Amino acid sequence: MLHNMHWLRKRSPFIIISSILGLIMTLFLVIPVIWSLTSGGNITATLADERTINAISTSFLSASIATMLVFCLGIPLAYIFARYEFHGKKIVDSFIDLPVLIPHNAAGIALLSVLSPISPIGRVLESFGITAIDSIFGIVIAMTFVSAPFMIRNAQEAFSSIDPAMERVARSLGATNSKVFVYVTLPLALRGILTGCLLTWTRSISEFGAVIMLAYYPKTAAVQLYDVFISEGLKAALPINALLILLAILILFVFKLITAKSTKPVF
Amino acid sequence: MGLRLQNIYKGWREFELIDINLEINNGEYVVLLGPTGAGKTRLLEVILGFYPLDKGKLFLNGHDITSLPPEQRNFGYLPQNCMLFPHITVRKNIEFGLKMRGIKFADNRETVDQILDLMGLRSLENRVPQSLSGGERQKTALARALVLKPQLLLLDEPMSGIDIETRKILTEELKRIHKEFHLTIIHVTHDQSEAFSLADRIAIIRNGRIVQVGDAKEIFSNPKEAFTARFLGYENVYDAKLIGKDGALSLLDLGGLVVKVAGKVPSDKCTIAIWPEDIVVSKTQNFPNDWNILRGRLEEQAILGSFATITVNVGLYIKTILSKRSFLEIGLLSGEEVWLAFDPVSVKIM
Repeated sequence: MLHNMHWLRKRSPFIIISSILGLIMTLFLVIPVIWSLTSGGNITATLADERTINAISTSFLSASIATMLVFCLGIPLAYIFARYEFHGKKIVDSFIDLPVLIPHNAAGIALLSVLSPISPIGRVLESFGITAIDSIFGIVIAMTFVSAPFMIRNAQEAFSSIDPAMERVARSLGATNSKVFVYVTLPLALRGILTGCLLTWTRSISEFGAVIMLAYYPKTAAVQLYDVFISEGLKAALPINALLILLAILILFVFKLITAKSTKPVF
Repeated sequence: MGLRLQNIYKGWREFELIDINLEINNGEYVVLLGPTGAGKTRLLEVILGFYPLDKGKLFLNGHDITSLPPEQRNFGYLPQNCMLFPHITVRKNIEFGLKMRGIKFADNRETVDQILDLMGLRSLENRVPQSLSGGERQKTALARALVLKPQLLLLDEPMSGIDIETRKILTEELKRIHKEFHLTIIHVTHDQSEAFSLADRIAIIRNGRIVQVGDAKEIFSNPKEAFTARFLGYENVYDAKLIGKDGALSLLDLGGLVVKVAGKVPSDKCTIAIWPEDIVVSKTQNFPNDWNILRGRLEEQAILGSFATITVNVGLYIKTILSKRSFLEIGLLSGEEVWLAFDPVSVKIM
């Protein structure tokens, strides 16, 4: 390893200062995680707590539904964006990034104002017996809203990197537009789409701000952590915190494994 | 019968194909020849049906195929850079078209085997495209198009990006395929030697228009435009003005320099072109009397393989080519006064 760090021996002031600043940045990111894990206390006991398990299950279920929803609606949009020019494309393009930029509780309030029974859309939903407030539906909607850009942008990047001539050849070989998409475009963009799926899913699981505005119940893992912290204090929150961080590390590991040769994600 | 392009117009934001008329007979090998950006690939893509036409019609064996989608045209296509599908093997690339047409694996096995053998690709069938050489990729892409027994084969710069040896092999391969399959082929290139070694007929394309169509000899000996003449290597192309007659010959003024030409001058203002090879260079004035004889200063000289090119300033810059041996025997030096001469018959008039 030291052999690989021969650049340090050059002792250029620029390299030394950059290394020190880089080390501070790394410690800043690593210390809270390690600290939470080591001071997490009894994680096994937390795992036995039904409330925590239910909250984690709610998070996983909602995030999975949200990812599927974004996949079905976001992939076509990403493809259209990557392949075609149309009026208003730039405006729609800016709106796609908006959920990443606005505070997530603001996103939650925006969704609440649209979906609560005082709005026309909320009333229509209510007439079908669907409510966004304090429901899995609400959680999924909040997650979908904040995580959709990750899927759309990664898929768009993946589609754009495929030479349209490749698709044209497939057409000349007898493939219809939809067959070209299934047999050529999708397999070639698969890694980018997979990255998008994983980022959407992980971003959905970690969502708190927008979710809590729409649905305090059923509690997601992030809401449960907040709830325990507010009602029982820091010490009680630490084991759940440690568990969530451990899960995140596990997801990160799987993510790196799958996207090992991936083109870089947009976000 | 064959392919007929009738008054085709297609505009894009940055380019347009204008008034394209071309008839290609069944079994004919036609080369679309033109410089980069002339619209050759766009025209090929229009024939393939990738863009709806703004005007005009496309007929195949008398049937109007203008609005037929690309997947129903049964045209084989070899695009630039081959565009093999990188996520599947050579064999699966070749099978792709059959699969898209719903031909079952059991039925296509033998067809694919045959084409693999014909193209000498059997040992590569399980390889992925990234591991193939340039020539092998071209062959695979050709096999992928040929396996569908296309009515027409369209080749877009098939020799680009491959070495000279492989080019020779591929040229022979294309000749063989053309003959064996009795295929109608449209081949796009910017390389005139490629065009002349393969084409039954050549269509010269420039700025989205077909400017001349003919067989190789016709195109070479009678370019219709200054552009075509320069593109084909005439080198000496000049604007000229008719100023009189000298017996059966016409006298043309090339901006102060008067030359005699034997061909018919179409109007008072015209363009002339002279092959560098048709101009003789000497240190002495020893030429037939009726030739154009000019005296000038040798400005540039270069030996390229077994040939030498020299540029002489006679008031105009004139380029000539002679064998390296003649060049060395004459002993030409830069700055020297030399004589140039050419037969009035050798001057092409446009």
